Amino acid sequence: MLMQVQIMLASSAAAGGVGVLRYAWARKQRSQALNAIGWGLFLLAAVLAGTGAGAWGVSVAAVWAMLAVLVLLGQAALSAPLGKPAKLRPGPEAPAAGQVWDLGRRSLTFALVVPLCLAVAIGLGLATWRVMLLAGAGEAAAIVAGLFMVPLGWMLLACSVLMAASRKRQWGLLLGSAIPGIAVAIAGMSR
Amino acid sequence: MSEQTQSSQTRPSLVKRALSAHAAIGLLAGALLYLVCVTGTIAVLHEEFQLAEQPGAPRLEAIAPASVQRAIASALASEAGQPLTTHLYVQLPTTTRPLATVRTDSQALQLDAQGRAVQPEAKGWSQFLLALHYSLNLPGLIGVTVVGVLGVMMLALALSGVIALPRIFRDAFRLRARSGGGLALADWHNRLSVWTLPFTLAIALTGAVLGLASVALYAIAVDGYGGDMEQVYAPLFGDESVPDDRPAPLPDVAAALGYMAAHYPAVEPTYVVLHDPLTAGQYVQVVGLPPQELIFGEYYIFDGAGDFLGPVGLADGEIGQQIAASNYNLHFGNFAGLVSKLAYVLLGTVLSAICATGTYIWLGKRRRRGIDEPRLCAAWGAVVWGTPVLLVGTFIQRMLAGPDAPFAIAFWSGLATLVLFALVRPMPEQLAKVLRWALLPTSILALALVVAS
Repeated sequence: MLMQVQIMLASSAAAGGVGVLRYAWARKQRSQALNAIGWGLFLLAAVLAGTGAGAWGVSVAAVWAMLAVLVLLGQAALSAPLGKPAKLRPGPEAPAAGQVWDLGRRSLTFALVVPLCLAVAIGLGLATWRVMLLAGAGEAAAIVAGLFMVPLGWMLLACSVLMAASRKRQWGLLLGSAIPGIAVAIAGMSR
Repeated sequence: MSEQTQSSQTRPSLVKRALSAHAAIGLLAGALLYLVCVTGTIAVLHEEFQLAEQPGAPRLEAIAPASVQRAIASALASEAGQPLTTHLYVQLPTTTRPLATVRTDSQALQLDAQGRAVQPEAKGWSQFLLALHYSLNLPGLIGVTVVGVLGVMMLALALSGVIALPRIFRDAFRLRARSGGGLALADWHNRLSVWTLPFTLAIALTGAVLGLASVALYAIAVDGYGGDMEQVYAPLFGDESVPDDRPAPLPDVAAALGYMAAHYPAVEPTYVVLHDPLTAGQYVQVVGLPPQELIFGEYYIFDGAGDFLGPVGLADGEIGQQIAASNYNLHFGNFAGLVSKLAYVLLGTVLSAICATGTYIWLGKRRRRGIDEPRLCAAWGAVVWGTPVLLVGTFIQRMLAGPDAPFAIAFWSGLATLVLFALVRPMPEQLAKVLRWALLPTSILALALVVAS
């Protein structure tokens, strides 16, 4: 019973946090107090849900917060004034008219971001697993940490490589990130 | 140079690079990512679709342990003289799926309350839908891994998208929904992306982990377990027993279920799994869901005589086990009954819309640079609107032609035809309009067929 009350309070706090931030950010003047209350309600929701029902509780509260957002966004959409067609900037990601696709350069970028980043991310996963075991973590925790490191590491690498200013920097990022995996491979060969 | 000046000089560059990365990943993965989002959204309700596909299967609130025992005995007796099934599953009725089903390596049968086989399981369309979401209908581990890669791409899109929004908080509710010139589309895309970020991260990360598990765990197996994958899975989900092929009598599953009712009354049993039935190495797993847990279930292990050996520890064992077992329900949204499922359907629809609008925004930016792409625009419209229309179409096919109809062939050939047509006869607005309008009558027809059955 206490747990159910906690989850209801947590869900209400999460949805309330969205409402308070909506109000705070719609004002002409920013209010630090209102911002703090909004974020504080999120924190309260996480604590209540987490202590009441662990990961399950946090998931339920987060779902209610997102549903509250969708309601507020729907309201914002309905009340939006009819605007004039705006002149948007073309954006840096769209090539200019006449600009060639440069397939060779893009293919190399693809090779760096997909197969190479995956290989490096697997190396990071292996290194995480090994380090966790050395640090005394349980076998299941070490395996799961390694398992999660692969997609998380790949995500970070893919974004970093794509956002790198030069090809040299891209290679540097990949080679630097590959060191833990290479170390694990060398250690494995010497066993 | 002051810090402020430095910041003002580096920030636009960072935002620009993040936008470029965001667009590159979106273009690389866009169509398949959209397909996975739409199918995942519909697949949240796969249990409900199974019910719609099988109107004649008995709806059960519960099934008695003795009936389960009878069903297992009948299923194994019906396969006498054939090679022994390696596993036998009894899916027990639950509030969200009030059906009882027995499955062996070679057959699947729906049960009545007495444990008698009533009809073969006939959930061909639901299986097609899940296979499309899990693996894009590609064979074996290839498809699952490709979908895992798409999960990573979704994570990368989320990260690059957040970096590309320098006014993420100031504009959190800024929605110029009725402005023209691409502004409304960009606002919808950005606002929905920001506010559904927890959902996106949760399903993308869990999906990526599920999809890439084989690759990642294989690497761990090679490095630390002599290539034996079972040894990697064992610390997470428990050991398989040592096989012993000598004949043995039918295991006492009724006793196992009786033990569960007496000692774990709050746990809802969802599956009974017999490993190597009718052999001396056999054992029984009862999968049960403790209340208010994110895990898909705990494995309660019994020997062939129905004596309790203990739980594996997914509910309260090592933290790694709990995390691994929580991945599934967090991904599929079935952790809080119908409420969380409907919330996931809504949030999944939003995520699909984010995918769809992303490419439209990119095409709009190209148009403003003077590069009109009617073929690409038409092809994207064919994917965006053709996917749901074809999914509804295959469901109608299921209701009219039965569970064994070739759904995957119909779907993929239909989608390829639409995209080809769009490329050959580029009429972006007309094609999207036709498909958009087709969605309503086909959905009504599908619903009518369900009601009529």
